[in-house]
Amino acid sequence: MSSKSQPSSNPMASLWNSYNDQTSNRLKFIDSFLVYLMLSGIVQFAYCVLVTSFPYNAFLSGFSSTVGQFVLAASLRSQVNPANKDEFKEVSPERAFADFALGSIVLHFFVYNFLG
Amino acid sequence: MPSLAYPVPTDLSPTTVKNATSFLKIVALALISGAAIASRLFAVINFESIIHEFDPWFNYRATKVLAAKGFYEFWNWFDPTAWYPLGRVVGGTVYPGLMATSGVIYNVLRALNLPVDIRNICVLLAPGFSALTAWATYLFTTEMKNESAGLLAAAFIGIVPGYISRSVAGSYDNEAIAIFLLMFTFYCWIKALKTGSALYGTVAAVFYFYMVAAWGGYVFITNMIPLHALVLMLMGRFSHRLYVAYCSWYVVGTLSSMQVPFVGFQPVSTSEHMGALGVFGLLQIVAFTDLVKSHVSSQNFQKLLRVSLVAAGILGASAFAFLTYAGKIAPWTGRFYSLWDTGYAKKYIPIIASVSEHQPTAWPSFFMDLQMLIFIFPAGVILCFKELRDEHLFVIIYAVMASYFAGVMVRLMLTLTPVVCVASAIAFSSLLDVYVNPIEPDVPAEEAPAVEAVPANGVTETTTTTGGKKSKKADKPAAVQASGSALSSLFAAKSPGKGSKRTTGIFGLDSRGVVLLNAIWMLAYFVFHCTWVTSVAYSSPSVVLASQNQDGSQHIIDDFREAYYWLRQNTAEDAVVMSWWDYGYQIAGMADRPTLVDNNTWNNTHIATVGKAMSSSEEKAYPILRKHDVEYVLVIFGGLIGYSGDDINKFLWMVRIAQGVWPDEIQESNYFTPRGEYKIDENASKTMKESLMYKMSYYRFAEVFGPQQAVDRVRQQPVPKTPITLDYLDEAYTTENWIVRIYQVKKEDSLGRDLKNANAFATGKKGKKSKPQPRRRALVA
Amino acid sequence: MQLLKSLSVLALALAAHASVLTVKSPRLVVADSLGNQLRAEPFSLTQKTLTPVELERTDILKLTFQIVDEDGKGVQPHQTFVRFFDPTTGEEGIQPVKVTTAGKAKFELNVQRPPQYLPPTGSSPLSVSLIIGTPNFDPISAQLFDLTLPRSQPAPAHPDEPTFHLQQELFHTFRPDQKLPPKFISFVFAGIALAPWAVLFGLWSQVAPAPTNLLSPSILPFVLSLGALEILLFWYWVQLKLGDVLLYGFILSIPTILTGKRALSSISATRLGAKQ
Repeated sequence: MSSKSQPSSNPMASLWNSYNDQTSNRLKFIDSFLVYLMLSGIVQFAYCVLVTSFPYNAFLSGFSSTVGQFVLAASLRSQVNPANKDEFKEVSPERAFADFALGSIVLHFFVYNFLG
Repeated sequence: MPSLAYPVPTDLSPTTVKNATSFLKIVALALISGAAIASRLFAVINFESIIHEFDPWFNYRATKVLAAKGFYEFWNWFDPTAWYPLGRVVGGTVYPGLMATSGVIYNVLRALNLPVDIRNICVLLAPGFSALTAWATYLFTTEMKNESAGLLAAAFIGIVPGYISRSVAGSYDNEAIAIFLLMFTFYCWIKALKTGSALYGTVAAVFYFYMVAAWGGYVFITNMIPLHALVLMLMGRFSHRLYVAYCSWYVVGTLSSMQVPFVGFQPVSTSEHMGALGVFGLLQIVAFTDLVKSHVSSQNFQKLLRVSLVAAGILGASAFAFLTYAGKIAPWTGRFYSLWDTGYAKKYIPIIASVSEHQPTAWPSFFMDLQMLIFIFPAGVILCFKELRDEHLFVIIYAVMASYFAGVMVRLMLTLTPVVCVASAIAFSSLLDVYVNPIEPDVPAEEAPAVEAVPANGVTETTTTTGGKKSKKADKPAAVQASGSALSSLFAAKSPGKGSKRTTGIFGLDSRGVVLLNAIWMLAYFVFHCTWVTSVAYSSPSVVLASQNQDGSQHIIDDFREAYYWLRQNTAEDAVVMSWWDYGYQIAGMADRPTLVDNNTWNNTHIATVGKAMSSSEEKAYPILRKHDVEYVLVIFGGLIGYSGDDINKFLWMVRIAQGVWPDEIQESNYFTPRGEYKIDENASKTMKESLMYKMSYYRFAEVFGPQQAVDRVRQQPVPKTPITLDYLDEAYTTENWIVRIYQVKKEDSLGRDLKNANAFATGKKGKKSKPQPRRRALVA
Repeated sequence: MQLLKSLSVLALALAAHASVLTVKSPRLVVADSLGNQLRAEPFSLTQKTLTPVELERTDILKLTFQIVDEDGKGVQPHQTFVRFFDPTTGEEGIQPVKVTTAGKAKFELNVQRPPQYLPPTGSSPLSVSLIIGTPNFDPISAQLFDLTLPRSQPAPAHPDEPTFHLQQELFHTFRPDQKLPPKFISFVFAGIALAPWAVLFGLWSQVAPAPTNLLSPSILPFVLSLGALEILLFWYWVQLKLGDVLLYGFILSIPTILTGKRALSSISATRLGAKQ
């Protein structure tokens, strides 16, 4: 917590330090998944812009599967984050995971349906 | 122990009360569903189990194909008989939700060995779904206030004419199921927002998908929910619950909405859908900022914020410029413009303006459709302001948007109705809460009466001293207050007083009784009004008309079906029938004949071609008819019995639409008398009298009246006696009341003559002797 | 056999019945406007006159003949025509010829005032023939001579003329096929698209969460049924139809819900237990 009290010269570094300190391994686990999804989405988008968007529906379903999975995982993250416990009174971490699983399956259904 | 205004049993255990309440709730919901279904059956009882109006006939026809051939066949259905000779790819240009619903119900019933006719399923689908709508509205309003308000809202929506008008038995249209889906999607959204559960967000998305598949009005949801989320963010009410609810809804909902072929890639390419995408992006940024903020000090945070804001601004602007430059984002569509500029449609797209349900709403129809709810509705909205939880904001936004749209287009009254019911139910149940509550206000004995009394008398007293003019103004609110208006007492009851302990309430049984009796009377009168409006105004199938005999008994006018069955029985199966587009679906559905244009008005030029044929003279129309292989022309004529929805009254729209495409050949002003009147009598302009539509409508009309003066009963004008001659058409059939007249288009003369000459020859007139032209011509020297 | 016999009998009867008409003293005269005979010669029904007849702008063509039967008696046939036919353009003109009861006929064509029936001049000369038909006699259709007329305007086209030709073939223009990028680029990007997996596993190896009891009997079924659902969806992509997927998905979802409930409640029990 010391980094927080003293104004660091480099805000990015302080952000990184505080993140490393304060975040539990579980959340980091989700965060790395989020990073993966983000990279994957960026690659697909770059492919669409740089090379071709030809099977447009395939691109859309691929891209939206990463975006969708990202927001679902981000939702899961914020639901299981102990810091947000007050906001989610009715959602226990297990319920959150169940929601995540259901949302993912529905999402994947539409993704496969759209993939062509 | 507070004093009670009337005795309340005290020896009941809480569980008994709870059980009794839930039992009563179920009974009430069941009764409301029953009432909702029953009041929609007037049409079936007064007439018969028949599909109504125009669009439902197409839906019915499509459903029959779906039921008979299965879903995949339906998906690939190309209908060569519509829009002859173009045809229509039905599977890709239709919202299949309605047909799929009926198809599923049909197959389920068949699997249960209940062989119900598909027509009856289609006829009764709308009443069935209205019961579900009542249930969804109950759930939605329960989230807003409590269960008693929910029950009131369910009862309101069950019988309110504004919704019945689109969901009587036989009105087999997309709106029949769409309102249920609308309300249920909103309920799931509110629920998702309240609990912050991705489950409800996903369910909302799935119902949103159903809605997209069912009705083009899904765009309303597409913009309502993002607007709500945006307003919440702007009010500084961002929460992770909002993030979870919105993102899970948006991602699954958008992806799923693209599965509907008719929608296609629109959700990522048209401006109507961009708002939702923008809010989605904004939410990501806000959520990420929130995360960062929780990890760094405020000073650092501000530095980070500044850098990232600049970066985001540059990125966003360049992305937008790029997309606009590349033409990736389609501009707003015309129908959408007409929502903002009410004169737009009339100027640029007469075909949209020509539809009566796209006209701006007349004031009386608000009262007609909503009765007292329209007056209580603002009170409910104000009550929402009082508490102003996240979900109340939704009702407020919904109320504002829907009120505006309902004012622009009659048709959108339908989207206003649910929110009116919800808000009125909130207001009404607050009123009842206050006045049914048996607890007498518990205040120091002397103060309370004084507080109550002062506003009524004190205001007038103080103002009379200052001047007469002011006192009059002040009198009014005082009078309103004194007359026991529900609103003022509500505020008195709920608003926090100056003192922390101050309570407000109602004293005595009499004041309660006056207000409650008044409220009950209003409710009862509402029920009467709804039943009356439903039975009188909204239960006519418009395919079958009813009139009163002189002894008061009902007389059924069945000319439409008479004509359509005549076509079905007496014409070749591939005989093309031309009519104005209103009747296209009916001809396809009932007569099973190819049509030139129908109610799916996607091709303006084609419709204008029909308009041109109808509004030009016979000689000019004939080549058009022959080129389109038209064998029969069908016109609706109400002049004999006074049916006002006939083609002569729609004729100016035909002229206008034709003028839009051929401004050189058709001019609207030619159809008016020199004094600018639209007349069909002797004074009618020459162009009008020579137009095909005029000739077909009044052909041999004067003969019906014998020696008397023929009068058109719709326009109350005398019809000229000079007989009308038709050279290029033959009268093929005219129904009992002359509502439908069918003409056969003559083939080219077998002797190669002009049909006009041939007709003149046949009637015994000697034509000019015509010499054949010599083939040989001398060279010009 | 019967039919053939009767036909041949009929033909014989006809042949016996029909007799032949001939033309007596046929004569062709071309005169100019002043009446001077430019050409005068007999013509024959059996043989076409070899030198074509040429008419100038003021000339007059005259044909005279008498129609007689085998006995030399004059016959007035029912129908007698002179036909002008242009074999290249197909233009033709037919003019009835008046014949007296004695069989005498006279036909005159004045080019200066061309009659209605005269076809326009084309590139080749008109062939003139005589057609005679009457009951009880064999019909005659005899090529007489070729006729060259002064030049005239070309034949006017019929207003419907264009409709009687082959219409131009319709070619639908489709959007050009979308091009797939070259294989190499596809593979490169496939590789790049797979690269984040490395990142994922790298990060996960760093922040591996506390060992979970993923294989415990209460949780394993849930994970398996979730996996089954995912496999079902993949299978949908590969071959299944929508109806099948919805049916199987519905069936699979029931055990998933049950196992999920059990698994998650056991997890929450351990979590709450750990807290206390």
